[in-house]
Amino acid sequence: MEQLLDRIAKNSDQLAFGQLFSHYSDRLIYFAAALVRSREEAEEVVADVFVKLWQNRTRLPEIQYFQTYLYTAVRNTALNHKSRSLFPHEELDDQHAGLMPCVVSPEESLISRENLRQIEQAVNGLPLRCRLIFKLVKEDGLSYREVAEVLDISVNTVNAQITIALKKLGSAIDLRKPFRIPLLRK
Amino acid sequence: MEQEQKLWELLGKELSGRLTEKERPELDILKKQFPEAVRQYEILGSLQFRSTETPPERKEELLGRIFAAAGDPAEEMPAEMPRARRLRKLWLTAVPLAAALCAGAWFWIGDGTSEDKGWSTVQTRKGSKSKLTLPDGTEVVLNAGSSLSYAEGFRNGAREVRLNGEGYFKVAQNAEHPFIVTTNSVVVRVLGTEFNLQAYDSESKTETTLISGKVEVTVKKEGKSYLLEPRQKLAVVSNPPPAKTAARVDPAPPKVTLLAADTDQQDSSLTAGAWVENRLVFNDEPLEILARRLERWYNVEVEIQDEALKQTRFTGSVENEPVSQILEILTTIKPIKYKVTATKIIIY
Repeated sequence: MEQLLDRIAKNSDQLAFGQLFSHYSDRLIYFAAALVRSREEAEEVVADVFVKLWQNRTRLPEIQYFQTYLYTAVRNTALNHKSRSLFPHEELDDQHAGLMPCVVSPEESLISRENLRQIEQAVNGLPLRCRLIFKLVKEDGLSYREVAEVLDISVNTVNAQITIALKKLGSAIDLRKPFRIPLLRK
Repeated sequence: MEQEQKLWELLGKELSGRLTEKERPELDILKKQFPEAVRQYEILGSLQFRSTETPPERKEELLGRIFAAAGDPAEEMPAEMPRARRLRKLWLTAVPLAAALCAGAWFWIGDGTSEDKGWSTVQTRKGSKSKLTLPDGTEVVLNAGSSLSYAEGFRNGAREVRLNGEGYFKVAQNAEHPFIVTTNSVVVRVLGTEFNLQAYDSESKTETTLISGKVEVTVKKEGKSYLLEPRQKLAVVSNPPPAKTAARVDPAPPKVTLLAADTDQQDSSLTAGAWVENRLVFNDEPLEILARRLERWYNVEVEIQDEALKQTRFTGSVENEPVSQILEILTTIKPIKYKVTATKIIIY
């Protein structure tokens, strides 16, 4: 990542910038979509952030915590876009902020389809904020501290939300269905 | 079930790497107490929670808008205009204008006509260079104010690019698929080589300088081809079309010369491609041409007020100097005067 940022800053390398964009765009658009009303608007927010990144590319290497910086920039831009509070909408069926659990260890399909469906219902049944925090920690690899900073909430809140998410999703997994357990540790 | 609650909390901390040394033994004890929850947690860990993915072509489109919008310095808009609309407006106007703006831009050219379908373009602004690697591994350094387009089908072996401006190419070896660069006036065919091609649409002269390997340059208007040896350059000077186009007269054929490549007087290294290393080399160059290079190189405007000065020739080389320094150097070579205003440099 540092190399990529270096190439962008020193050579104005557009291909490197394209790589940076495709690396982060999906997760940032998802993040923005949880804060604004539509997917289009979320794309616009993320594009807006990248416009500024490109304009200030020479200063990219100066940014100390690049990931936190990116998410924070998206958050601020989203708030400016809407001048509304975080999480304006809490409808259950927000298509653009839904999550889809997938099996990632291809060598064994461990989980019955039915069970996957239950997990999917459980994750999309979580309050939006809780779901977003879960995704940021589990899939985007942000630390509690980063999530707290990016969403402007306390670390304890992040901790509590993750606990709720894990417990809800965990109990959606039916252990009586026969499948082998993967020993997949992060 | 407070214990189990505690377990989930500690598992969450483990997940994000925030488990402290003090908490580790506590977690181990709890794990033994609730083996089922641990299994559920492990299964969760083996799942990935994906969101809707943006299709690649949509990403490409967004990226194009980003470059286009970034190249257009967003002027202060009235505050009552909402940001979202402002950006959209900026995008809509910026994309078609991008080429004219000389902005850094990356966009799909063409509207689905078969010839232009799926060409990507990289542009460098005045005052900036860009280094890129094409899908076949060919390395290109683009000089300021240049653009390079290549077909999306590049991966299928057809290696064809279009250049407007100056580029330094290190072409990846691939005997089966020649690498072809097309410019306004020449077509260069390559079989794994290093060369510099200067072909700004706005200038009448195109220069192909071969560093190593082999290239074949075809002059479009002549239809003739020239094989270059290393350290040779082919200069093509096109004649501007006659100003009065009452009768459709074809312009005179271009003047083509094959000669030894320019070398640095001090160390006989080739001067073409010196710009890649931030060296500005000028060899017996009229001030008028040099001024245009400075304009691109530093993104400034240079005006020469004295007609005779335009043809005054300069020789020298500078490295990594600010433009003010270069002007100083020029005054030591020939007695010229200059002043720097807010918008441009005037030489008189």
